[in-house]
Amino acid sequence: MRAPLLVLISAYSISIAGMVLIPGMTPEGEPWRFDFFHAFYFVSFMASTIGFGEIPYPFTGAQRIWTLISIYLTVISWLYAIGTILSLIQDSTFRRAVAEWRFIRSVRRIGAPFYIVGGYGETGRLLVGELCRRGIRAVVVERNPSAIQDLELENLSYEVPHVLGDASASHNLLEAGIRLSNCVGVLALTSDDQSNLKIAIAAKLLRKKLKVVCVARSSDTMANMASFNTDHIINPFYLFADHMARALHAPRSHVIYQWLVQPGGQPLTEPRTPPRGTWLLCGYGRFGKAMARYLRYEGVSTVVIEPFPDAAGAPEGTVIGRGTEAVTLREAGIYEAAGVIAGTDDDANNLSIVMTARDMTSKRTRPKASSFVDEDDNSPAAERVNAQHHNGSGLESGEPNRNGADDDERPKESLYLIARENRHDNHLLFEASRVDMVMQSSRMIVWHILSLITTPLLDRFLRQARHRSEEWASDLAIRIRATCGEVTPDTWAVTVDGEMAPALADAIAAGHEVTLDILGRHPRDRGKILPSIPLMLVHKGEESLLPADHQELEIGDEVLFCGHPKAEDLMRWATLNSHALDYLRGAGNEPQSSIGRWIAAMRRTSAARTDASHSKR
Amino acid sequence: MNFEKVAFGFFILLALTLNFGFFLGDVDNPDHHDVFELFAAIVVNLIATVLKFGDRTHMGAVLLATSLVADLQLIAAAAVWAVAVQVSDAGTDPATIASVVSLSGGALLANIASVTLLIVETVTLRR
Repeated sequence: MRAPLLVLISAYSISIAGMVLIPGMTPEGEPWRFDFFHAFYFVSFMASTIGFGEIPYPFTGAQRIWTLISIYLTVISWLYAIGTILSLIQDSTFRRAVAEWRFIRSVRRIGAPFYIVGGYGETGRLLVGELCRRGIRAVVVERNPSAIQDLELENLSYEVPHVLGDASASHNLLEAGIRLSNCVGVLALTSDDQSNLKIAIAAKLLRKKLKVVCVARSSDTMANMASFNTDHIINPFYLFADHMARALHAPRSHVIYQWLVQPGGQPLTEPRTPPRGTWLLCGYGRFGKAMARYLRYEGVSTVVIEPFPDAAGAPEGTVIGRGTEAVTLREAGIYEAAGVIAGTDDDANNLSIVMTARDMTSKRTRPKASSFVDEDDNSPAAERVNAQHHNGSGLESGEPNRNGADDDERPKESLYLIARENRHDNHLLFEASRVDMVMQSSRMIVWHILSLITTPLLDRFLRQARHRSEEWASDLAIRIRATCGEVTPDTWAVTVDGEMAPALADAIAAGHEVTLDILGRHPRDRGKILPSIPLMLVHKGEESLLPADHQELEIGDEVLFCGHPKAEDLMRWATLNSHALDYLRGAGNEPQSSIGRWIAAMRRTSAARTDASHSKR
Repeated sequence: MNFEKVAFGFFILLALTLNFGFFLGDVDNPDHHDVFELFAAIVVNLIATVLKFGDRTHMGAVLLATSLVADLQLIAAAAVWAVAVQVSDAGTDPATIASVVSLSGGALLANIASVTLLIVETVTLRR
């Protein structure tokens, strides 16, 4: 950068000095010389090749010789300087420095509370999208340049500052603003346990009080993370196994859990209750082990199918094989089994397992063997899977048919199928395969994190709800279905304080009575009731589930609501707008301004007068 | 011996000496102040400024600041001279020359500060 500037300065000064020193002549033949001002003027337009000509008088021969020399000198120095500057701008290190500087600046400018997301893989992408949708700011640190490009192309409603780098490196975390007071948490979502561990350690060392949420896929890492107070450790395998155990143990409460944890506005489906009985567990990896452990705890027996039982540490009685072939499934006792869990780390195998299992059992319950293929005729994705499955297990395709004929007279509920989806790209295939439950780790992680950071009350509610009876859950499920119609409910919290709900706080401070019933009414027509249910009221740290409508609110209370996604915005009228709240309280439309009050008073007196004159007559 | 250090010291010192040479003389006497000397002082000051670019230390920042001040003062002096001669027909009368020289006097102070800092740095380093 210095050299081109020095060259330019020297070229200019040499040219200007020469111009001043060389004598010229006026048209009248009198000797004349450039002064510095005119020399600088002349050299400036000459060097930039604008060239106004020989000003103010035509040049002498000596001046023209010097002009020639100066032209080459200055023009070449300009080209050199511009070329150097352009190449500097294109230089990758320089660009990186600029990108880094921009990143730091945009992080500083956020102002609102934000989370640092380490790792923009499948999980990171889902989570950042959901955070933006909820108006929560995020900063992304990602190692993979193509993932960063994906982020740049993503159409997000907020600017998400991002930097290319390893999130476990402390300087990247510092640049991402970990020390800023409005950084509220670090979410370690990379696909590598070791990286997540490093991010958690770095975050906890750089700022002790920061909330750190980590994804871990092995129990070693989980224990390690827990050892230095990571706030939340999410293991998708345990999460799903816990789900499953709950579905077995308390199906209605599990339904509630699933509805509330999902983002609102999705079709409300009631998952089938998994049957008790023997389960076949294909693949005894990290997922398989978690499932086996939780199922054992629930008192459900499992038969493990695993190609390398010794290496995986599978229990005794393990059937050797992948589970993609009918013969291993039959050996494991598929005809007596209640369900099959396809839990290998290969999506093609998992799909093949569930297809084979369904094929075998449906042939048994239904005499027509081809019915299953006909069903999926309209879905090309399933067709492809079918073809693959038939190639893979062509040998056995004839056998189950014979077998099926024997058991035909004993009709049984069809097999419960659970498949593990490893890559989101394959989601369409899993959807087309129509299994009863799909284990999607990235989605589960995202929902869990969202419920942790957006509505911490929900987590508390769900923990409380776990201890309630099935009848209680069943009643609540009926209420939710009646309230929200056919979409999953949104959940939101209302905090009664001056900042979050100024209208509510003012009304309560003024001594008015505000009940939950008032909050739950339509701000335009108080006769209508909003499609919402108060799930939990936290009063002075004490939680009460499903508070009654006449429950009075006090300053400092927190209420968790669930309801139709539109109800949240409508409810905000009552919490933020004191006119709306007055109307809902039935206090009438009292004018707020002094002139308004004066006019209202005038009206009242004139009305009283006309009333009086009417009554006189 | 480092050639870069030689060039660096040379230009900074030369900026001061040229500036001083221009400044020397009666403040309002045009004959004591040569326009070529002012031109040379400006060019050398600009070169000295560019040489000071890119030093991230605190000392480097202060050195750059002194140079920028000197540039500003000298260019202002040249501008005053040019306007007086070209625009206002006043020519090099004593009043104009006095203001040009006083501006260059300000630049001289900045240059002295710059050289002092350079000497201080050299002495403290002792290499």
